Amino acid sequence: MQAIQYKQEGQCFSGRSRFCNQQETLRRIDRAAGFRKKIGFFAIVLMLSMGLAHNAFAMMHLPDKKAVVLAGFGTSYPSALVAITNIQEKVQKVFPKVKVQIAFTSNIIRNIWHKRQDDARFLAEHKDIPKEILYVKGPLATIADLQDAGYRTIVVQPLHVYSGEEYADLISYVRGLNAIKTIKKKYTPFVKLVIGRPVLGKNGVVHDYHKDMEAAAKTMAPDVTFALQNGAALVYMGHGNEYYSTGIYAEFQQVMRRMYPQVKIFIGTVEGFPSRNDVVASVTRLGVKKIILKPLMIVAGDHANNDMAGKDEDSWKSTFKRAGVRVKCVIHGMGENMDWDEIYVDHIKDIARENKIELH
Amino acid sequence: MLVLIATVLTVPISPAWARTNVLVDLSGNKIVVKKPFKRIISLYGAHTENLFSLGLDKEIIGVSKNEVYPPQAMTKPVFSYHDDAEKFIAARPDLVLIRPMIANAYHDFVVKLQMAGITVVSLQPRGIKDIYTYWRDLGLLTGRSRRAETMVKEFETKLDHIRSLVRKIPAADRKNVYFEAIHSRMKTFSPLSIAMFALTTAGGINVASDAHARHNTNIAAYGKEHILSLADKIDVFLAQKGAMNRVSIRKIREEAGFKAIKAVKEGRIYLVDEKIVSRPTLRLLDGIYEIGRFLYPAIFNDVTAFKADPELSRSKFAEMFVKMTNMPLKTPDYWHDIRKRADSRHKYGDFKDVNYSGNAYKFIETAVYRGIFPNIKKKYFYPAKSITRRTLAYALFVYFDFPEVEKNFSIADVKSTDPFYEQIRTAVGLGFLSLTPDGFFRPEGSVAGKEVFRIIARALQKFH
Repeated sequence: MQAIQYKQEGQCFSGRSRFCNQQETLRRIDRAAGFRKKIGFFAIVLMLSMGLAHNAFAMMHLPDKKAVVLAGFGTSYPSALVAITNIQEKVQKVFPKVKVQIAFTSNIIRNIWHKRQDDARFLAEHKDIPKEILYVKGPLATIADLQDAGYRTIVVQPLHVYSGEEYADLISYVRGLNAIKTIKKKYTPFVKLVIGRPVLGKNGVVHDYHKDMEAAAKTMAPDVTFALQNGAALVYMGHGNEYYSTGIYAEFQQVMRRMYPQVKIFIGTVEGFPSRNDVVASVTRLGVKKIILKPLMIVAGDHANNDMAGKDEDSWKSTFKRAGVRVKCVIHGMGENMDWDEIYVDHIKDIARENKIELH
Repeated sequence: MLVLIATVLTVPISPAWARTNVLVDLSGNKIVVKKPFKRIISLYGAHTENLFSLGLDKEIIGVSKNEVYPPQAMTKPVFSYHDDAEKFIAARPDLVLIRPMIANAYHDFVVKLQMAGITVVSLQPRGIKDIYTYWRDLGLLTGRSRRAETMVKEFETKLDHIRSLVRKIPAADRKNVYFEAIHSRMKTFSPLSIAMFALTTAGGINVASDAHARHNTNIAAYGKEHILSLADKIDVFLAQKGAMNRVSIRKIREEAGFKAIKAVKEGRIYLVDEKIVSRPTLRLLDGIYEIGRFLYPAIFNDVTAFKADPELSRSKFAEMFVKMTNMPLKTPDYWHDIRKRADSRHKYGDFKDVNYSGNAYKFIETAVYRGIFPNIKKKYFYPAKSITRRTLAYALFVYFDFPEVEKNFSIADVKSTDPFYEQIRTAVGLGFLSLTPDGFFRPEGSVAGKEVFRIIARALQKFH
């Protein structure tokens, strides 16, 4: 309200005329309003500034570093661990700017490694074992720890051979974590949390699992050569699952046979279909007299040493021998095959690309 | 009256008969045995084994979980101290046999049984002398005191036999042994324990004789550093295996620091079932014998007696094969050997024509579980039948990793479609078994003990 002209004309009855007082009051109101406007303006500016500063502060509190988690069952045998550390080294070399962490799904195996933290003698004898293995955690804890340390873009890559129960569980973990929705989007724990696919692929239309099987089959050429040199058929023992059936081993056997028609190839599982007896029946029906027997597993652990090559009548080796078939066991896991390990790198690249994650 | 006096005078008075009918168990309970107990539930595998050894069967109305020996134990209802006392009471036992671990940890459960009028007796012997008292106590409780005395005599006789074998071993050849009880805690057995008795009776020298037992237990702490301080001295690393010590040879071999141990360097790591070295039963003799086979195979695996047989039986073939190849004795594990096996297949203890309280059954079941006998029937082994040339060829092929036989020859009486063709062809091709001049193999023919011995010895020499 402008000063009343009357005031400006300087004509106001001094004293206490009601009108003069009114005018004075109006002037005061006017001055106060103007002052409030200024205060309000500064307050808004201040609040905005603080808000921006808070945002900036908040963004500093939630950085976005990138990590890859390699998740598998694990092994407690130092001699077999090389299959897994090989994969880790390879992935780290391809993605030097990304943190590559191993996670073991088996709590028994994790506990065994944890107990070795205080075993000075063990540590002295196994200097080549990465220190992180002694503190290895499960996939959930590993992802959470990484997030806590500022890694909010995480690629989980399973070390699994095929899409089975363990992979389904891992997907469930990732889905669960991705279901966290904070009120403010900026506080969502992950920028991106994604999961790659097993070596032999997964169901769905995004990736043709037939191509994945072929890529895996290509890495197994040295086994075929070895079988040929020994005049033997090639038999693989996979893990399988009694409660989660897939046709992947039977299909993969066909892929291998088409790719390498020069050698008779058979694939079975310790648990599930095709069983040991199915494979022995197939081998003997074709008149095969000698086989190379290998685990179709990442690590050559207890299954390879006992179920496959053990001395009991029910081991694969004994069962074949009882059927008149000679057996040469090769106790090495697929993780020791550098070409096989390359598949994990390719699958990480695929999932990163699909989710616009820059890992380099 | 005269007949009665004559009877009393002619019957020998043995210590059992002279005993009172009172025993005091390890819980301090005084049990006056007025008449033998007739409805017994055993909550400890050793008690079960001993009750059967005393000749009881129908009197045993319940056993503990996961028992597999003797085979009849698997036909009995299963009870556990985790069960409700009502389940026990409903079965109307007059006696429940427990051991101190149960008495201490499940006191309320024990009281409930006692309040229902059931006698509960806690027994568990510590050393060898205790074992005889314990057997006599079981004999007293069950009215089988005479049989208990027989068990003691039988045990002593067989111990004497083992000792006579051990006496043949010169002092300089005796083996120093570290006997592991619990791997995860680096514990051994106390010097006065049953397991150490087994070791020393088998001729082993306990390197950890300075171990101190925890009060009232068979186990003694020792520690890795202590073990490693004896690294050069340990000829054999022996470990009990079972629920108390879930260990494998690989685990021991890969234990940090253990590669310094002489036994580990030389691959002399052996496992023995805890049930035959720690349990106070007649099977302790098996444990002692098994340890002897590990330490002094030539002495304990002697098969000379079988060489005289003109036709070796299946039972003796099993024993000869297991001994000559030094195959570790198979002892049944409930989960792996019984539960996981399909019902249609033979399981340990199934053979109706094999005596499971004798000696031969151990070697028969070991050979069967190793897979060296073809076409095993579920319930019959035919132990007295002669071993055939076909079976011998099969056993050799399964056990040894024979090379391929390049040369071509035909066998007049074995077609190429015969399921054992490759095994027979290999045995002939490598010169273990021969054809007649007109090319017959005679697959159903018998084999003399001497010939089996020669063949296995040659196979061991060339292919082991």
